[in-house]
Amino acid sequence: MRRALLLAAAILLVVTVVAVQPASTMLAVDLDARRNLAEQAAIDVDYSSGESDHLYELIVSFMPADMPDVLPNIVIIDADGVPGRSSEINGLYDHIAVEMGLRGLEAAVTIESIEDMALPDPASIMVIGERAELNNETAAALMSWVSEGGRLICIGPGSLPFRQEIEDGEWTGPEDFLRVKYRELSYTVDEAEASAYAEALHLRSQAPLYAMEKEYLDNISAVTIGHLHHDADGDLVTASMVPIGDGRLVLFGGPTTSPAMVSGDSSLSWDIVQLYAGGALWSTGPPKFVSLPMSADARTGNLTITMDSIDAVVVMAYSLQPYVPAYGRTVVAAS
Amino acid sequence: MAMAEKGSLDGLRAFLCPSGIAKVLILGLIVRFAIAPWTYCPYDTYPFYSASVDMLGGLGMYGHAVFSYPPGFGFVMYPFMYLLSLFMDPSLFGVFVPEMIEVSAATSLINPFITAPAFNLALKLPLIIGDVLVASMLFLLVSQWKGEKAGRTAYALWFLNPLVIWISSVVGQFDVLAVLCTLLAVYFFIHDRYALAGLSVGAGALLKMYPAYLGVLFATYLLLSIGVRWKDRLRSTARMAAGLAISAIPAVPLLFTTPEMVDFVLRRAGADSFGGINLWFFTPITGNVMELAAGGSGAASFFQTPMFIMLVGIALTVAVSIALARSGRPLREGIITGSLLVLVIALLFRSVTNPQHLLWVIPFMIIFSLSVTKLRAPLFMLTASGLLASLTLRSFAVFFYPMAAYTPLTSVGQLNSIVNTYFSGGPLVPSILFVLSCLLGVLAMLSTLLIGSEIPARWIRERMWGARE
Repeated sequence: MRRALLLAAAILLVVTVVAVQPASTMLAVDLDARRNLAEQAAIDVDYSSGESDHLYELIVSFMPADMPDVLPNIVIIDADGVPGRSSEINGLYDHIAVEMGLRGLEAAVTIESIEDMALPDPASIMVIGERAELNNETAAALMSWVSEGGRLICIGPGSLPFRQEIEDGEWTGPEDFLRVKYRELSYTVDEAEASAYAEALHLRSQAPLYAMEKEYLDNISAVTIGHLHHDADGDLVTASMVPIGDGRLVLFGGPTTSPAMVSGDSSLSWDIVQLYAGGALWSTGPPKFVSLPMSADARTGNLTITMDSIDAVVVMAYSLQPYVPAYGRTVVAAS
Repeated sequence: MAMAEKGSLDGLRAFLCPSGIAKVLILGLIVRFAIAPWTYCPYDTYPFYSASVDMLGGLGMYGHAVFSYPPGFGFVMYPFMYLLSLFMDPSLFGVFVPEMIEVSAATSLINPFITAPAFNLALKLPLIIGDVLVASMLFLLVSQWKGEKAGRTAYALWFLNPLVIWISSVVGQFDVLAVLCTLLAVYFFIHDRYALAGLSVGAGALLKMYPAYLGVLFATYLLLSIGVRWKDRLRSTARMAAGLAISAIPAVPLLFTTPEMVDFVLRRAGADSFGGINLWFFTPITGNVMELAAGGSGAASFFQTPMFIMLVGIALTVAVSIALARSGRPLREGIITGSLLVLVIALLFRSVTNPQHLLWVIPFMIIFSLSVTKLRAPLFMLTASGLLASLTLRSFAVFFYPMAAYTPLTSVGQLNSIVNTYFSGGPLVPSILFVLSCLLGVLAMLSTLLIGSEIPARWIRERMWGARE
């Protein structure tokens, strides 16, 4: 009896150890997208995916974008000037790398210290997820890098290096730095309004502790890509994209540690990879999306969506259920 | 053959439900099963949910880098979650609740996500089984030395302990499984089964890292024990090391399929927060003492990191182990005393000590308190501290969101308003209550250290083990 129990336990352990090994990374969604012959602004998409073990909801997003052929590398900047890496930086690295891996994206994700690094090729993406302790000279160099075509993502107050701040009611700092004001967000579910980007890409970071005042973002031609909160003291924006020269600056409310769906770094990493893979960092107009119902069956079908322009379009399929990482992506050239 | 089988079954039954324990067992189980489905920890349960659905989806438990524990609990959870998935699609395991985002932002320690009662039960079932097995091990250990009456008392003190019930059946933290491994390790060690002791320590470390402290104690004891030939010392140590090595085998495949696992698990030791039921209990009010010491500059050095604190704890562990090994105390007494002291040191010298961590020492305190009545007060203080710390951190209401989401007894809105009321005066009042709760636990642990280390060895021998040595 004792031997039988031990044998059964050993077999159960072996089966469990085998069963919990990662067996698959992605449920590939094949997308065949092309311009509609009758209407150039319309996109026809044939999609197909295999069977899943579990139910999942499939979303197909359409982003008008002028983006490079190859998705660039992502560099996370250790910018706080403190020896060692903060949990925010480590968390962003872990989660961005995981989200990239689950989509089968091969671009590199690295962490570099601001003191040691040379500014990368402007085709790259840089992420600052903590308070940046930089002098004005370095901050201006970063701003020039963005202007030359770089994509810089800053999370939370204090993370944007080239920002003017208000002291005694006056803006201070170099004149060409941006005037962005952060304010504490008192979240209520009824007063949050998702932007077209947040809806199409299902962005998760919707309740940061601090968000940006829309009034000042409007002055720098920023586009709301997160959620808009209507507040008695003025509207607040959780995420925004600012065109600077040939580049883009993406600002998230924050800080990174504030909770959202799971933890700040996890939600923000999902959002960053969605903006990146979905083409939002190179967008030329607002996105659209189609939601397909929950199912575990193999899916085959087609759909047509009419865009507002004849620009190139990034078509991306993804799942809302993280444990069924369905993913597919293709680009339809400009007409 | 049939007789042998009957004997084994009787032995198993006697182990799981010793005579005179049935009422305690049934009462404890009723309480646990009544509350387990309707409660959860709004911060800690999500990683278990994430690991569960990721494993079922073929991504492995570290699929989304949310689960950052060693892999042992993933192995334990999987069969239960797999069985659940036969009846319920993982999409129904939990639900995102936007209504909770506001309290989530206010407290920083609530995820706006509620797990389903069936999921909560599947998660907690192995923990409830763990509670039973720990109680049985306590009965076995104590009754062998002090007789069955003392064994029954130990069983009841564990199985009906409110903190034990709270952690396993409400919070859903799995420390009890590591506790079981430490008791098995101690049992095997004092019966000279060193390979099995090593296996138990290793199995425990696959769940939570802390049983490794006992590994240090055991190795020191074996290597420095008085009156044993070096050849025998080395042979015993080698046996224990072999057991340890064997216990690591289940984790080896994951090292190849998910090598980043090591990073996820070990990086926690470098997390930059302090506090809880340990020497840094005051930080919610004063801020990080290490930064204060550095003049608030925020400049960190190695001496201001949790890793350094842990190394101090390990150094003290080694010192205590050497002192006990060379003290000439009888093996049982030395190992039980050593386990208690070493684990209290481990708790005090952690960067963050949460209520569930207190379970590590409670079985050893129960054993001691049966003879050394002075230890009963610290035992009860520690139990109260764990419960109060758990309740004062975010208010009691946060644990009942599953009840609100899945029954008409209360609503998410009602629980939100309780939490909001608790934090309505700002974070200071909750922080003070939490710090006072933690202080109670710190005092309990300090007095345990004094009692455990000061009592003359002869006195313990006479009271506890003398008759049977």
